[in-house]
Amino acid sequence: MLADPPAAECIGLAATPLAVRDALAGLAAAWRGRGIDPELWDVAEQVLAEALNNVVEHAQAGREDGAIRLETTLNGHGLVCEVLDDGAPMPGGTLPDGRPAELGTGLEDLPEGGFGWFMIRTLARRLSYHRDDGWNRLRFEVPHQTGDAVA
Amino acid sequence: MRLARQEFGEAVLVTVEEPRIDAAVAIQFKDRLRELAGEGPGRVVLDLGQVEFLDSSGLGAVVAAMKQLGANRKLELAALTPTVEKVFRLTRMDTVFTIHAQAADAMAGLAKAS
Repeated sequence: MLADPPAAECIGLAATPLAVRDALAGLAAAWRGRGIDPELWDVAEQVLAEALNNVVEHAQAGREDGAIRLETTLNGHGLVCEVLDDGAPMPGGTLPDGRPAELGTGLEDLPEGGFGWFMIRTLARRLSYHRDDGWNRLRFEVPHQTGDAVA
Repeated sequence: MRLARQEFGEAVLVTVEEPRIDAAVAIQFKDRLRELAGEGPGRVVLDLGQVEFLDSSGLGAVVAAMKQLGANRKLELAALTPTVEKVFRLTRMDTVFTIHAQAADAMAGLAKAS
């Protein structure tokens, strides 16, 4: 007997913050319809939002005709996510470290950004990045959330 | 971006009447909050009880909103939902803000201005 194929959802979107919001809403509805663990989806949505916002802001950087493609697959490990875009390559060809932002000592020192990669690296695992025929291909896995998971 | 404002003596309560503060509305949120906070003295309490999703742009906007109030006015937060609370905790921003379980706790003892 053949095993069921893994459940997958693919979506294409424009490189704007509103398109990211709409894509996540559509994907949330699709995965909820398939009965995904709500806790897993909440974490996945956070990571996907950060990854997609980075593409819109940096790789596509205001090119609203830039293409983004998002593939999500649910398997035994969690939700495997692949974000593809035809924007500028990642600087240095590698993913940012995502060190936690320094909170500093005074009000004026507080960081207003730089949280995105830290959250991606904290919440997702098996991150990989390839530049492939003019496309950025970012892949990561959001693990199944168990009650005792550290998060 | 729907934000509602109420005055309680010297404190201002701003309630975010939106399910998301994300990159699509972060700048609008920050500007609108500055308008509603006004020039007066006193605390500004931000009720996030209806906000189910906050991304790092939204978090940055909350931090920027606090900075633009200046050193003499405090921005406090109330009623974080579990997903929003987690973002503050992961980034350690929960150590920077005073966070109230409910907006009513932050306003305890203050009479609502008519």
